[in-house]
Parts: sequence; structure tokens; C-alpha cells
Amino acid sequence: MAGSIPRVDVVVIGSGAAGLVAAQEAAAHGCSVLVLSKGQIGRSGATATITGDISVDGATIHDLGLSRKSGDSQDRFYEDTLKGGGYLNDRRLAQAMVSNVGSEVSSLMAAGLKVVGIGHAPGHRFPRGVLVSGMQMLQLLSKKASAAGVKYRDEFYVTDILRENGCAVGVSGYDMRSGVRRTIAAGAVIIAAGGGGMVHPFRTVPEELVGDGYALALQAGAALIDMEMIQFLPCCLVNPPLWRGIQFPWIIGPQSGTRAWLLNKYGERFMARYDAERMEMSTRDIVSRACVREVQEGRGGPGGGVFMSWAHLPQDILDFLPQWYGKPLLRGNWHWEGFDFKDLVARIKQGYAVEVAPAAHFMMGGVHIDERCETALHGLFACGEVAGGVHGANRLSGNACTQFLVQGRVAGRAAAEVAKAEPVVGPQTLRDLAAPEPKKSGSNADAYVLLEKAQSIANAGLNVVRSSDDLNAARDAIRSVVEEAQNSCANLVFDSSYNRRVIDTLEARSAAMTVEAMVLSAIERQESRGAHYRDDFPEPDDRYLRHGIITMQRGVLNYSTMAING
Amino acid sequence: MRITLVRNDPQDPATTRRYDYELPDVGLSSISSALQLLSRTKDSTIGYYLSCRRGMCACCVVRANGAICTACVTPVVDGMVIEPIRQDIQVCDTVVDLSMAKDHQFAFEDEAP
Repeated sequence: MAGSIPRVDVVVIGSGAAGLVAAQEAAAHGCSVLVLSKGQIGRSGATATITGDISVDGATIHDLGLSRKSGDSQDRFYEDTLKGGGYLNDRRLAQAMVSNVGSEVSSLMAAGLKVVGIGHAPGHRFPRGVLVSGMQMLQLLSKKASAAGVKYRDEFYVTDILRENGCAVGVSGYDMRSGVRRTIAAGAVIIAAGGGGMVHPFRTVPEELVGDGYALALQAGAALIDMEMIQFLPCCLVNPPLWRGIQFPWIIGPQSGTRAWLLNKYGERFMARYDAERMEMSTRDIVSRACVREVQEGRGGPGGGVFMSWAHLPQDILDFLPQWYGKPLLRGNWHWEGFDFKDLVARIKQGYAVEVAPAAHFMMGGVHIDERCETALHGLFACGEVAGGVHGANRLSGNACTQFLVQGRVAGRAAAEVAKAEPVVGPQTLRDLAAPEPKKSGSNADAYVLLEKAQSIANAGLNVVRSSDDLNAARDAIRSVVEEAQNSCANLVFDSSYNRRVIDTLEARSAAMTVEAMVLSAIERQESRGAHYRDDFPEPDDRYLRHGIITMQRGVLNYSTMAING
Repeated sequence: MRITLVRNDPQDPATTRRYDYELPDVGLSSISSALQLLSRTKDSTIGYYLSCRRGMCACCVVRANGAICTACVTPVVDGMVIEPIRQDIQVCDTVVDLSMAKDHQFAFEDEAP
């Protein structure tokens, strides 16, 4: 252990929007704040991937000067959020989210956030999507946090939350750039590490979202809530590897309203069996389930997907799409996000189909928090995607941004209060907090192989369509992967800077622990609700209209249920 | 497929060396995927940065055959030479420091200012 252990008031794990808002808020309350990011500040995390919307109720959008009156209200926004979530939402968190987002958007706009339009996404009865760029949000939020005095370490992987007398008192982790293991004492710790979409082999999320926050919370003694609730985005590209998991076909298809057809390997327009009325324009969950069912029953394509086709339409009709879809989001030269899809669109116009499949997109479940964003461990907070409960069983479009802005503020303020109120931990105690030096023996388990094992178990057991057989098999399979990953981590040698083997090993542990929590939760919810669909229990059953709670004792996960708040 | 990676010599970090690697053909794939595969299967000290995989965050930026590009959305091709974009902001191999908080870093006591 190099040097003495530094102490700050608040440590924030993660530098997406949630973490940056929380950091700025805590600093504004007079705290010394350190943001530890596994990636680079202002760039890493899922916020960067947003070319989308912040959900705000129509009345507030009008007050912000962004649109005319729409008849919408915070109450209606709240109702839609609960309905979309299958009424599994934590009511206090949902109410806070819809009530407090307006001031966040207002302050971002005052800082220069460009609003490119107001969108109207499915599930919202009114247009509520304040369309913005995630990268611009990150730039503004990191500027604001820096101006408030926040300090940072880029590429620092937090591996443990330190606890003493039932309180979070700091963190330790791997400083990737120096290769040194570090411990930092803190009055309060905020987990803002993002979701865990990377536990699926087929996903839309950034690489670092392996579920670190869930693993950290479990190990610290905090609880997880409704971990089975994973949102999938339908019709993402299967191949080539360059485009794997990219939702472009969905964007230029049903998302934008062009009547693309979904076909199985026989060329059959299979949506007729699942939603004969709306067909491909059905809701995301129904389209996702239909696509997976076709593959499961042997009617899929060579890459494990189904086919999307525009061949029945005139060749030039897609050319008009960029004109009305919204210029900043879809450009006339078919550049979308960082990709050049000119050649793909040319092929589509020649009548070729593209193979598509649903990809893991967002975690509704996560760290269990109260209305102050505090976990079961005093002084440990969570905000943003890593925190569960607010979206219930399914998230509406745009509500991810609403969540991270509102919860970031709440967590930052509450953490500041705790950090200021707690007595300073004495220097002797601080030294005792130092994590033991790792053993100097190598492990033979290849980290990326373990990660791939966890992903393949999630793919088999935790997909869009679930069954007790698949889930039980997944539960049996994941245990040994968790144990192997934990052993590998215990034997890690932190002997060089930027060693991807160390990073991959730590990530494999996070992913494996996340999958185990998800599998256990999914087994216990013997009903279908929102994103959780059970083949053997295909209908909602209100006996299960309760939160599923996961805790860990001596390495073993326990499941219990809890009544929904409010 | 063969690619060349310009890396720092592990024994002498001040100098760079060209390392040739053989890659399996997996279809149209990104430079980032190639670097990730090399790190996982050949040498875990190969530094690469990969986050969004959709050309948004720009952290994976490299110089490929002389041109600066985002590695996650740029196809890797046979004979490609991959280098860091700049030496002065290099972290490790192709990884460069693009942090928006460079001027606000936390310093540990034992670190030189």
C-alpha cells in the first residue's frame, strides 16, 4: 500500500450523468468529492450513447418554453410510468422522478444544453421526450462538477466498498493507469456505476456495464431489487460483428413507423401469430418475444435472429425517411450514430433482408434504495441505472434520463448530509481499512472465458422468453462460474499498469454475480409482468405483485419479497 | 489476417516497436474487436480502450494506416498498421487520455505533482 490513506467526504463510483450530478450536488454542499471512473470522465458510461430523450411532463415542457400546452400533467406522467412498469414501480421513487425533473432540465438548458425537439414515444400519452445529445450532457455536467470543486481519477476500478460498524467508510480499487491498488476513506459512498447489460452476449450497452455496481452493493451488505427485470430492444443487427447489437433496423423500421416486415426462415410474416392487428407495429416486448419464439421453434435465421425486410415497399420510399424522422438523429447520407449505413440501406433497397434479434438494453432492477437513494448500508447510496425500482417491470422511453438526473441530485445531497454529520474516522482505524495485499499466485481461469460463460448462461436462461427448466439449469451453471471468478479475483496480482487481464477478471466476477442474482429473482417470480415473461406462467398474477429482494450472506444469495411502497 | 501494432517496448517504455499479429477471419469486424481479441488471447498487457461501440464517446480513437479514426466503428483490414494518435497524451499503447477532467485530477500523497 503506497502512501497514507486519503480521506474525502464523498466518493462517487462512476462518471455518467448520475455520478456527475451527484458529485456536483455534494460538492455544492461543501463536501470534498472524488469521482472514480472505470473509464474516462465525460465519455464513458451509457450516457454517452444517448441520442434521445429526457421524459418531462407536457405542462413542465410548456413552462420551459419548449412546446405549446398539451393537456399533460405530472400526474398523467406518473400514471403512465406506473402502467408501463406493470405497477411494480416503487411509488416514492416514481413520484420523485416525475416531480423533480423539470428543474434539472431547466438548469441544463441554462448551462447550454441544446434541445433538438420534443418526441412522442410509445407508452407516453403525451409528447414528453426532450430530445438531447448524451455527449453534450456529459460535457456540461462534468464542467459543472469541476467548477464545484469535484476531483477525479480516470480509469480507476473500484473493487470493494469498505464498511465498519454498519456504515460505508470508503472504497478500495485498482488504479489502472499506475497499476497500484489504492484505498480511500470516505464519509459516504455513492454507487453510480450504471447497469449490467453486458451480462448478455447480445446487447446495446457500452462495454463497461458488466454489473459492477450490483456486485459491490451485494458484497457491502446492501440489497438488490427486482433483478429479473431486463429490458430488450427488438430488431438489432446480428451480423456482421462490426454492427452486432446496433438497433438501426428498428430505427428505420417500426420505431419510425415504416412498415417493414418481420419474416422467419420460410419467409412467413410471423407477427400474424402474435399480434394480428398491429403486426410489426406492436409493442417492443411483444415483438421481442415473437422473434425469440420463432428462433426457439426452429424458424430462425443462421445468426440466431429473424429477418426484417422492406422488399414489399417501393425502392425509393426509405429515401424520404431522413427528411421527416429528425435530422440530427438520422442523416440523409445514412450516417447514424458513428456508423455509415449507406451500403446496408442500398442492400435493403435492392430487396435483401437483414437478420435481427432483441438485444439487452436496460436494467429496471438494481440496488435497492429508499427515497434518499440510501441503501441498507448506512452511508452507501445508489443512483441512476444501477439503482432499481423506479421503473418497475419495464421502463418507458426517456425515463432513464429522468431517473439519473433526479436521483443524482437526491443521492448527492443525502450523501453530503451523512458525510457532514458522521464523526471523522480516526487515522488508526483508517490504516486498518487497508485491504490486505493480494496473494502472489496466479489463477489459471481465463477471465474472458468466464465472462463468456456468464453471458452464455444469461442468454440461455434470462432471455426474452423464460421457463423454469432453463432458469434452473442457469442457476446450477452459474454457481461454479461465480466461484471461479471469485477465486480468480482473490488471486489477482496487481503488478502492472493497464493490465486487461486484471480488468477482465474483475469484470467476470461482477457479471457472474449479477447473473446469479438475476436468475434467482427470475425463478421466484412465477408470473409474467413487464419485461419478465415466463413460458410456464404466461399471465400476470397479483399474488406476485411484490418486489423481489436479493441479499448476500457469507457468499450465499437469499431471496425474499417486500410489499410495494405507497 | 495480419495486423501491425505500434506499442511501447515493455522493457524500455520510452521506445516504440512494431509488433505483428495474426488474427482469425471473423467477418467484417472493428479495429476495437481486433485489439480486444489480441489482448484476450495473445497478451493482456496490450492496452486498448473500448466503451460505447457505436462511435459516440470517441475514447477508442487510434491512428490506422496513418488516418485518425474511432476504432469501434472502423473495419479492421489485412495489413493494417495501428498506432496511438499522439504520444503526448498516451496512457498505454493505443489508449490516450481524453478525459474531460484532466485539470481536476485527485492526487495521492505519494504521487509527484
